[in-house]
Amino acid sequence: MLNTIAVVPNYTEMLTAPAVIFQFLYVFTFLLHIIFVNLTLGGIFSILLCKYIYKTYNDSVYNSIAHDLSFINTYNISLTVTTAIAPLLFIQILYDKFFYSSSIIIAYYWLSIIFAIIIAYYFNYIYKYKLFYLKFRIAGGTIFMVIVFILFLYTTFMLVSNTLLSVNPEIWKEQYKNINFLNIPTIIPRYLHFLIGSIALNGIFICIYSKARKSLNENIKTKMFILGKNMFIYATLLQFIVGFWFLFSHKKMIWLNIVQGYGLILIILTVLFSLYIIYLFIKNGSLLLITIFGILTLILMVILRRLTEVYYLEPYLKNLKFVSHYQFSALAMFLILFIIMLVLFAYLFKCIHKNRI
Amino acid sequence: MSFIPYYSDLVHPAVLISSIAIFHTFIAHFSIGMGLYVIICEYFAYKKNNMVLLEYTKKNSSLILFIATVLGALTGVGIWFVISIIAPFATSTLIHNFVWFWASEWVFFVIEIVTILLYYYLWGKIEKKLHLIIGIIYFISGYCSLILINGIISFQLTPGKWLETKNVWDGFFNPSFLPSTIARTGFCLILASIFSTLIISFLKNSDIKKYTGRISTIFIVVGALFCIVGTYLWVQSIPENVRSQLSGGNTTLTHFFHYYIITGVILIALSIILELIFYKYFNIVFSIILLCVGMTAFSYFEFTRERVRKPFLVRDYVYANGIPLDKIDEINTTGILEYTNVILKRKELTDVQKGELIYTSECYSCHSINGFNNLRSKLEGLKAEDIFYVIDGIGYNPLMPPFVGIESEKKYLAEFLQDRLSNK
Repeated sequence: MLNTIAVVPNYTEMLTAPAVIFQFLYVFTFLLHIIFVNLTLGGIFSILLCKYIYKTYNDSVYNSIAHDLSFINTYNISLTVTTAIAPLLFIQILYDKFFYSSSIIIAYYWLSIIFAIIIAYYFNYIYKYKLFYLKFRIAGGTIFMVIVFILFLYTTFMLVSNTLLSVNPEIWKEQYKNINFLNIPTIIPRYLHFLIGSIALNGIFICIYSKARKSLNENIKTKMFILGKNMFIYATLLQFIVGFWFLFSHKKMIWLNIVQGYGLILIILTVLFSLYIIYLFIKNGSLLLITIFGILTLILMVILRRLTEVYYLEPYLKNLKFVSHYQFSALAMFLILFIIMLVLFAYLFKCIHKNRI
Repeated sequence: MSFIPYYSDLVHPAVLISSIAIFHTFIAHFSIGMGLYVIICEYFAYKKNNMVLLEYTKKNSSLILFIATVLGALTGVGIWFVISIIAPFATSTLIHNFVWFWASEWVFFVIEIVTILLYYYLWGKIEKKLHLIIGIIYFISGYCSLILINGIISFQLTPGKWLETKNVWDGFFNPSFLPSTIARTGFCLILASIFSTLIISFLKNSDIKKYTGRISTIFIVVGALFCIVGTYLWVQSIPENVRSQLSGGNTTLTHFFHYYIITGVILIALSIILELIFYKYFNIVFSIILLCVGMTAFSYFEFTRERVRKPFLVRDYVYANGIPLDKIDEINTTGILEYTNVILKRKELTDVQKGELIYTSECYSCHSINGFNNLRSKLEGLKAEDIFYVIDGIGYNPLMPPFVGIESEKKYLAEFLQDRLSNK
């Protein structure tokens, strides 16, 4: 019988700051990243949905919406990649022994997402700029966005697989050299939970975008808003079912830990916030409130995700060995640069707003 | 106990990392140099009120957007993925020790991406001065990014005082940090120049071809000076015994270094001739030739830098096969099989199977049986007893880590190699 604790490497690691700082940065930067992941994936879904509505009901407004959304989608891809670096860094500080091991087990698949994203990125550009005379074609290159969607579905599936594999060392042996993704616990409900969440969050984003973009005509704005609203409402209603399926697909010990601890409060708040957003949408309530509660819901979900991760890794965490060797001067360098970045962006966007020709 | 090993019959780890790393660094250096190139061109375009030059500059900035933010950014992430798979322990060391430098680099990366998006999409939409400032911020953040990454990469070759103090600043400001920063600054300028020819080759106006050709030539010349000074100082900064490997001590390494210099000189000469003298006839074929020669020169430099570090991943700290130096005594007592990840162990292993585990742990990171840097060409035809003595003596090769483990494990490894090499 393989000792699963022993599968995890056992060398001592250096901690250059109190662990709580890394935990905070990991959760905070993951939150930033997941926002853009959701916007990218949900964005492509909404583009294809618009194309479908355009083709089925011959409503050209949806074709314009699809084009407009494809224009911002390349920014979202850029920011998804950019914001991926930081959580990837901090997870390596906390759980590299788990994350590296799972990455090794699915090595080819994991590495292939780099190529998948590169191809998806360029295909999105082809669609956006209508290269290769696509503007003269009736479909306008929808096939490129279909491929982009498939590639991002693949990428997110690998991301979910690697994350789950990393917190389940007990299945490393059976998966090593004999990968079967469907045997990874909770993979299907978790993946669906992730996809549906992307659609819901993107729904809110589309509503905000429809109000913020001044150059759009009223007809497009109205239909874009309704599209976003419906995406959020239907995806959230579906999420209630999938979310609970996901919760109870965990091992009994894990879901008991969740519902008997802070997890239950987080779940109740998430459900209440989501219902409140639906209520606001139906009553044509404040978009600002919708946005605030949308972000709060996402924050709660990220915290719940983190809590679940800790429950999974709990048996292994006590065997991890760290030695403190704090580098406060280097930490200060990072914090100062981070603040400079925020100030710089605020200043630049203010100047751009003032200096538009 | 070590990590689960990465093992693949399809792609050897060394091939995997060298291909993605060279490609990424080639693009990363170009994107920084091109940042400087476009702001200089933009400045002169405004000063001379030259709309053609401005259009040329805009096209060059599109190269940064479409190449650097896609291929550059993603292959950068790809390097992280690859090194964490093929050398997890060394990666863990670099990540833990330099986490705040990586995090600071991420800050610059975010600034870089945001500013290049603003710079490209706001052409003609905001005041000229502000547009230029955004370009300058892009370049500065890109260059700071290079400095931070270079500190970590040069640390691997010359960790300097860090080995005793474990002070991160000692590791960052290591002996080869400044020389390699100078050399890499030169690479940035040279690559900006040769990438700019992709746009120059499509220009119709011969005056603007001449003008932009001159700017590109200045970049080549200044870049070459940085490279020469940087490379010279870099060679001086590496330990004496390693330096001797570069100058004849090791044939492959010496060849790599010489080829880097030769192809570099060819690139510079060819660029100056084509950009300055034959600018009227400049076309895409010339441009592709320059890019190919540039890629070759750059690859030889990176090969040299990687190989000169052998047999270590971090000099005097962890070997190329991922075995930390401070574990050597322990492993020599308990055996490498004890150190191998438990996932590989079975109840009943034959001697040959044990040898395979040892091969995976100690040899595979640099050698394959039949493919990359293969053992067949070195050991084919030898009997297990002879291979045993070869293994026994590998510690004398300055570019090879010594065999680590107990005596019986040398025998298992020799038996495995004989078994595998006797089967074609």
